[in-house]
Amino acid sequence: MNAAPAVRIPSCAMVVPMLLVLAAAAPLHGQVCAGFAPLDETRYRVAVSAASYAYATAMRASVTVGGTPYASLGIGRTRDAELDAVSVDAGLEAGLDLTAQNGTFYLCPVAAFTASFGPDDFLFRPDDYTYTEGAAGFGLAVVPLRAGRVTVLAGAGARLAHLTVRRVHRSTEVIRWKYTNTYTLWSVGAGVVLDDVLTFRTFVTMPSRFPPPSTLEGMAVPFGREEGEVSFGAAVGLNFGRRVRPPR
Amino acid sequence: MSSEPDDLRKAGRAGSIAPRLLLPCLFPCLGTATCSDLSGPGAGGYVTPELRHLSFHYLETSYPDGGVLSIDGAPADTSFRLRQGQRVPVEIEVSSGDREEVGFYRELCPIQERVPVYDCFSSAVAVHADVHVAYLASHVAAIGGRFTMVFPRGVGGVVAVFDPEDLVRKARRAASWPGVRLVELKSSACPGIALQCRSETRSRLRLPVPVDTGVAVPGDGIVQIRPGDTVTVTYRQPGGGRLEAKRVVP
Repeated sequence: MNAAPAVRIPSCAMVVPMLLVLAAAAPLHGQVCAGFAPLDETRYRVAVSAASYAYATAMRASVTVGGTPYASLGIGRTRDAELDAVSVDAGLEAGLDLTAQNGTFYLCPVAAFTASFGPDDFLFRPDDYTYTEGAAGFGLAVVPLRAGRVTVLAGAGARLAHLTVRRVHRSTEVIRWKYTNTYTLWSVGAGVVLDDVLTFRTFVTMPSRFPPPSTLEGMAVPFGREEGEVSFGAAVGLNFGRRVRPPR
Repeated sequence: MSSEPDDLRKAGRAGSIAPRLLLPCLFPCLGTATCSDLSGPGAGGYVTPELRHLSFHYLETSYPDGGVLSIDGAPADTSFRLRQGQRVPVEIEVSSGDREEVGFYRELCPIQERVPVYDCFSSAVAVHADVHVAYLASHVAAIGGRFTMVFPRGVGGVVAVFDPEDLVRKARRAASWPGVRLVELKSSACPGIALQCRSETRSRLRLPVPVDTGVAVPGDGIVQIRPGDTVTVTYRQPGGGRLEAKRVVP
């Protein structure tokens, strides 16, 4: 049997699965610049987050290790209830929390890679979807308030993401469709840190230049990746593994 | 026991009000955030757009007993889009005494405009050659549905569910029923990416309602009819007018 030729123009059936993974790619953001407590006093952080997109919700968890340079490993699950479509993802992010003015301002260059799997059997079609995305960008953050045990962080960022989507026939494993795209994801986050340990943060993301007009012009893309569509999320992070400081 | 806080403070961990006060809130808070869906039932309720068309027809297969009254409506404004959780109220009145107040939903799903459309209430089931689709009647009833069509020789049929929420999930469940060979979402009038057609038809409303023969039980969600009854479906327009459709039960 001959392999089916790859289709160059994505059909509408691709859009929902594609956006499932795009939604999944959002949560692994910079640390201070996204509203988390810096890893100054502790070595590790675990965080869980939830995000609400126009048609989907996402849950994910991450573990962050490091200090000024840090790395985060995260896993997530995004679901569109109406379409009963689910994707799971795993992502690795590395970045720097560069600070000036004694911890008041931060610059956070960041790079991330995410692989997502699903949805499978989308709307009863015999195809499975996989996605990979590489992204690089930066964030800016400020600490406007330190009062006792409470610290308030606010930040914003942008990253350029390159996405590759593959639709694979379940039985033949032939790649029936492959699509690549580059877009920008803007984010704004704010967090409240208690005791430099526990962070509550909220974030807003908004894509732009997605999808590119030349290929998916006019398509209203769900899952928070429609051009200009704002998505909301919240997260909680817990720092632990206190660093041992040499006595002065 | 009283020395514990001091010990902890000496260890450099005690002033930590955060874990003690806020950790219990962590997962409930996240759960709330996850479960809330901007387009979900929370944004629902009844809405009353101006309708230009109202009709209904009766579908019966006798698998299982009873049939389905399929009510269709068309808003005057073709850009109207019913949101998930929203309903458009209609009244069903039978001359023998039954009276039901029900709510239209969309004819076409999903809400996303750019995804291929499917009938919000129906899916098609095909069974293996040695199985008659009537064998699935109890399974169909268990998901809150009825057959609206049975294919020749019982090789398959169309199942309508009365609650459109989670249609895709219910269809997936049907795929695991014994004897089922294939399940498909039922395509509607605008297949593929015929955007113009879709734009016009995405405003349409539909509601299947179960119908039984027997004594009227008003308000039970099932329309009871008898031969010779007149069935009237009424919609109250937002401006005060009424739109009606009538049929006599043969």
